[in-house]
Amino acid sequence: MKSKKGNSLISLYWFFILGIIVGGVLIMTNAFYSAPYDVRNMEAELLGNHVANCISPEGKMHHLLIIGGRFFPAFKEDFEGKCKLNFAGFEDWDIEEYYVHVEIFKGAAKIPSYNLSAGNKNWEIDCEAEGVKFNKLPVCFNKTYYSYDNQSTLWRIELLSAVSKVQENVK
Amino acid sequence: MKRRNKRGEILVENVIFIVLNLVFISILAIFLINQSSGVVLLEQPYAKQLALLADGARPGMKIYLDMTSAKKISEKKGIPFENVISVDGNAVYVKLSEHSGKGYTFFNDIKLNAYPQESLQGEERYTGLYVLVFSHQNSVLEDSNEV
Repeated sequence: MKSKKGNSLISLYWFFILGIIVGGVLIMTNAFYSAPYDVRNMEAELLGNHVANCISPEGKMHHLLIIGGRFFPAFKEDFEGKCKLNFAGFEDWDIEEYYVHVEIFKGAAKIPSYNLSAGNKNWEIDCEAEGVKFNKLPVCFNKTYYSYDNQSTLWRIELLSAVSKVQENVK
Repeated sequence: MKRRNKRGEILVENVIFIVLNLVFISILAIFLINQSSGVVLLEQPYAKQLALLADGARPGMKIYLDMTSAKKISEKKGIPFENVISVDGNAVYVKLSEHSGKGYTFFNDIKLNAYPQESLQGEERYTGLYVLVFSHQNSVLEDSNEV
C-alpha cells in the first residue's frame, strides 16, 4: 500500500515537472518565432544606393540637377518624383518612416553647395546618436562618393538614409 | 496468486506512465514542428523579401521567386495560390491562410505585377514560382498574366 502511494506521488510530481518544461518550451518558442525579422539595415542601404544612382546615374551628375555648372532648383522641388521615391507607406502611418538627406560639396569644400532631403526630418537627429544601441531608433546608412558633371567639375556627395519602421521590425 | 497480481499491477502502471509520457512528448514535438513550418513564420519573410526586391528593382525587370513552401501551405489552408501575393500601391501582402496575412511597404516608386507561373506539364496548375514584373508607375501595361 505504501509503495502504491509513493508511485502515484512520483507520477504526479513527474507530470508537474513535464508541465513546467512544456510551459517553458511554449514561452521560448513563442518568443523566438513571434520576433520579426529586422530588415531595416538592408532597406536603408537600398534607399541610399537608390538615391545615389539617381543623383549620379552611371557615375555622372544627373543632367537635370546641374545645368551649366549651376544647380537647377526644379530638381529639389520634385526630388521624390525625380528619384522615383514613394514614402507614403501604409494608410495607417501617422508619420513617414523614411528619410534621406544629400549634401553636395564642390571638390574638397567644407560647406555644401547644395542639399536635398525627403521624408521625416526627425530621424536625422536619431541617426546622430552614434554608439547608442537601441533598436527602437531608426537604422541609418551613410555613404560618401565622388562624381563629375558635364563640365568635368568634381563633386563630393554625402548621403544619409534612414528607415524607422519599428513596428514591423522590432518586437 | 498474490505475487502474480502484484506483478500485473506494477506492469500496468508502468505502461500507462510510459504511454502518457510518450503522448506528452509527441504533442510537444508536433507543436514545435508546426511552429517551425507554420504560416506565421513564412508570411512575414516572404512579404519583406518581396518588398526588398521591389526596392532594388528597376522598370523592365522580371524576377522569378520560388514559393513552393508557401504553395504547399496555402493549398492546405484553402487559399488559392494566385491569391497568395497581392499588391496595393507601395505595399505588398502575403496571405497563406484565411485568418492571417502580412504586409510590408517599399519606397521605390515602381509598379509591381505579381502572378504565379502556370505549369505546362503534370496535373498541378502552378509550378510554385511567382513571377514579379516591374514597370514604371504610370505604365499602361495591364495587370494581366501575359508578359
